[in-house]
Amino acid sequence: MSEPTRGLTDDDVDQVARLVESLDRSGFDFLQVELGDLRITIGTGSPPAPDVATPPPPPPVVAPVVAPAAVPAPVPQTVAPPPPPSVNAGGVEITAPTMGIFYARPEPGKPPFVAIGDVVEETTTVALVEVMKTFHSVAAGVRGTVVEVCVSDTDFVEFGAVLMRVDPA
Amino acid sequence: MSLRRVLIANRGEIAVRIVHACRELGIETVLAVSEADRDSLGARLADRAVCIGPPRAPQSYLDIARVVTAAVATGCDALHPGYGFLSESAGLARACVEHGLTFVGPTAEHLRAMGDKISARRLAREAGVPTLPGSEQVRTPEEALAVARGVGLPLIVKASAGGGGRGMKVVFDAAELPSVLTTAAAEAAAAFGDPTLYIERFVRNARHVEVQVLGDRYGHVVHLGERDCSLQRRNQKVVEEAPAPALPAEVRDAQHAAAVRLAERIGYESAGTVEFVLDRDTGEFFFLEMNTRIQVEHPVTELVTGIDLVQQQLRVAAGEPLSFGQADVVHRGHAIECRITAEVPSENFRPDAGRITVWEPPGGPNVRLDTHCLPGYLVPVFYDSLLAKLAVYAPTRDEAIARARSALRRFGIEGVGTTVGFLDFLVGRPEFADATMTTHTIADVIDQFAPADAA
Repeated sequence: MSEPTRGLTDDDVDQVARLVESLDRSGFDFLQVELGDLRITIGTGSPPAPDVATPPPPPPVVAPVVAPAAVPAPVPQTVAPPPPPSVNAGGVEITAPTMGIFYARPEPGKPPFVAIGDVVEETTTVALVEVMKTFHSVAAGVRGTVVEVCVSDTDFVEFGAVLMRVDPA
Repeated sequence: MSLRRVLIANRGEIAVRIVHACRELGIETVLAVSEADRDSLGARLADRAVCIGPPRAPQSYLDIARVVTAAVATGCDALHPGYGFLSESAGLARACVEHGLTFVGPTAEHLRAMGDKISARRLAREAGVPTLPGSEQVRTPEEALAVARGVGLPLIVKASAGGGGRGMKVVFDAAELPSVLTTAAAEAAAAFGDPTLYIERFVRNARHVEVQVLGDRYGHVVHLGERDCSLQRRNQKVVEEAPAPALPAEVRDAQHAAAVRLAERIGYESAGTVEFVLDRDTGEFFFLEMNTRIQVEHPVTELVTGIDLVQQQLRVAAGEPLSFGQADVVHRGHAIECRITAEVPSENFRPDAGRITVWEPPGGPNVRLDTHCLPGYLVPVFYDSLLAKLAVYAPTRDEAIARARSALRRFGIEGVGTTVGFLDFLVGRPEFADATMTTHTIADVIDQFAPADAA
């Protein structure tokens, strides 16, 4: 549904110039604007890591060795490419750093660390996982908006279980 | 059976073994798995598998908090630790009690008392079980030299927190003693977190003979006979058999009685093994250590007695009294077990992880295979290299040897290197046939093994 790629109009250039000025005054290092297919990142130094992990490069294609006719060709071992790190259609996954009991809130009766729609930073604590009275805090590890909480408070979670999904900013 | 659901805190063949035992008793199983074992045979056979951590054992199979949490969270009422990993951890046994779980094994106090090998020696002495001339804790070279004068050379320096053939150094020359003491203490501290050392006389020509015991919480103890595990490579058992061949009846009886005496004296509960070293030159036997868990080589005892040791562990843990007495334990025939590992004998037994492409085990009557392997199984790099235990039974020892060799030769494994050919070589050795093997036989004959011939 996106518009065809286009060049920058004079208006666009003016707008970008104004964005640069406002960024200068803001104290932020980078500014990213997305309009349809157009994505502009303005800033100083090297750009920040992309929000969405880029899919891994396709596995190197190894030319099959052509075996002499008399020798049966070895069965090619299909190696599934590793899944892209914690990204799927539903956003970036926050997974359990340990097996244990999932706590959505710092203590009973308190509001949860995060709820659907909340904006989180990489370092935002989104949950606790308890293993025999030892509490591990779970950091979001990504900037964005919580779109799904996949487990209920006090559920038992396995190592690597998906706890939440975040739509990266 | 009052146990309803058991968490199995182990992996590999023993996890599969425990699942089968539970199944027969109508107990549900939950298998705690690391990320590397999610698709293992044990995980498939258990009623449920829970992933407790990453592949490396300290964050999974060795983490008391995680296995106990997994057991509680999945509604288990008991925990079976298998062998290795946390099986002899008093801390795990205590944590189970604190969380209302039945630990399938002895008490934390038994585990602690026998885990400390100096304490174990003391208990054996108190029970009238012969121990090797040796020492309590040795702290200084002067102390060690004084001990050496008393017990004579050669001697062996052992880590009190060691056991199972680990943390030992043989000393032939008293001049080496101070430096051996220093390195042994450092190694013990690194390996076991405890630098405590002790000294024992070293038996040059030794057989390893151990007695299986079983106790309940009402003070009943029986023995299930002995096993000979003399064929060892670097202090690790390779071939085991029951009964021990060519053992004078009075020695056999004395060992059985000593093992039962020790277990009774400490009120031992569950399956345990009292290990002895038997001096080939003098005929004397001495206490080595007591293993407070199910052992790798338990199948040979099961084959000659017909008693399922893992089920007995579960029954005793559930609070049942032993349902049989000593007179009911009948020993018939002979059993031999070969430990098949993923190691390459021709490359100094380099461990060989990888995918098993062909897995065609032998079959037939009286051929038992304890394994977690299947065609296509990926042997992980994170754990020990045991692939399978091939145990055979026959009316006589000679027939058992023939059956073992035949079964090994029919075993087709491709994809990883294995010790199958080496095991065939070993059980075919004249030292094994005439039962004159010692704990150094493998070292003596290993150079004569030609892998190509065995294939």
